[in-house]
Amino acid sequence: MSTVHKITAASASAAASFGGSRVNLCYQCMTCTLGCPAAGRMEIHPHAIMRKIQLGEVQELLVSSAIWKCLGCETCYSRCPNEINIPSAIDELKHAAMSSGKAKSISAAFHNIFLGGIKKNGLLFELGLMLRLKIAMKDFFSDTFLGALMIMKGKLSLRPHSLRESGAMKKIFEKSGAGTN
Amino acid sequence: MKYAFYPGCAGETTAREYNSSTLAVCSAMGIELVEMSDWNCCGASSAHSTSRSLAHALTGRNLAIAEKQAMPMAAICPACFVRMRETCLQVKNGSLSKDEISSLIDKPYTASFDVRHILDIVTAETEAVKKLVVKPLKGLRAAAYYGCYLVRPRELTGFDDTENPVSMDNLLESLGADAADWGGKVDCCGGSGSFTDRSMVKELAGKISDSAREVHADVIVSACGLCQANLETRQSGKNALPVVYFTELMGLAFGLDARKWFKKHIINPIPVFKKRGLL
Repeated sequence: MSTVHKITAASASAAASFGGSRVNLCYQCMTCTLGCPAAGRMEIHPHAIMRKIQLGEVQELLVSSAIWKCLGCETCYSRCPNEINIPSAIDELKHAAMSSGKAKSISAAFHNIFLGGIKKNGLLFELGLMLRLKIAMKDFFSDTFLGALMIMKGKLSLRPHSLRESGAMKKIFEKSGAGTN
Repeated sequence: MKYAFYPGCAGETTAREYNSSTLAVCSAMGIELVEMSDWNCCGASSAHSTSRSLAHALTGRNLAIAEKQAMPMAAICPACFVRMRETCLQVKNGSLSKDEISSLIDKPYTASFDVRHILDIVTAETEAVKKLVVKPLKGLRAAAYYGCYLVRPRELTGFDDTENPVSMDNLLESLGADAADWGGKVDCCGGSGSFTDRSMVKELAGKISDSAREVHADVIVSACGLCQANLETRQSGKNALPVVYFTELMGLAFGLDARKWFKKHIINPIPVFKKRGLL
């Protein structure tokens, strides 16, 4: 692999519209990384993600866990002096990672399980989500007391909801091409 | 004023006391909330992390239902609010065409009505709030917590200041409480990371509750079901700090039966209200 990192005309033009953001404007002030609540857990920090997009090194980002650590809190965007929509650029990376099957994070699995439930029920069914997630994470004992307490307080529904307009969700998922089962 | 009310998924379950206290205080203020018919989940962070079309379609169906009711939408969850507003504004400014969204959801949608958060709605009517206060929250030190999506991103929420919002603080003051000046107002609680990365949420929620303890707050005041749940269940320290909704405090100050809402909490806030002579 080459060690020379260079912005080319093609990578600059791709960065200018990446995720509807203007990533080409990033001049590495690091304001995003300094205010990011998740930066400490990212192997590639937000400002470095911007740089890699400018350099056209997107493939490396698609397999990173950093993009899945982003909480979407929008702090970076609200502070960026160049008003780069960093969360939207990271969303774009998430979309590409998901659709190419490169997303290996538990967060990606969470989104799939969450949306699978919405496709089926229309509304979030917390208990179903938690159970499926426990199986996916092989973590069967955490938060069981909390869950029981929530049920006792009537804060968790025991049965899923269903929309009156049946089939509406399925149609929406199909039309928008979201590959959730 | 009439609104198409969107309780959101949490409003039906983990945040039901937020939902019911909102309905009670809005009814007292003469704000009519008509629950939307057959609404669906807004898609939350999962939809916008997965696909832009899906995110717009899930919010779009709800927006179309509210539009059919010919009313602006009122949401209690800041995440639902910001997702809905994003689609609404994109259709308004033409970056998402009316035809495209209507075809995705199989319903007409023209973005003719606004989407507002309930905190924005009640804080726009401070005089009406003041008139309803029968039991001022004297002596209660409250830390107003805004979190992310009420104030960020600015062009979507159009609400207050991104770094130092004050509308909830002013509301608390008009209820007679002492709003603490503190550093945790707009910090992120970790959101849906609560499901996948508990240690991160513990760290973030812990920092927020520690900041509130530093300024001797009796309660943290939330405007979001997920933030409230994260702060209540993932905060650090032995002196558990109750986390209540601003609508519950309004209800308490209005002389409504707030005890039934407080009983739903994981950290019981009743002792602190008793200590301040408010219950």
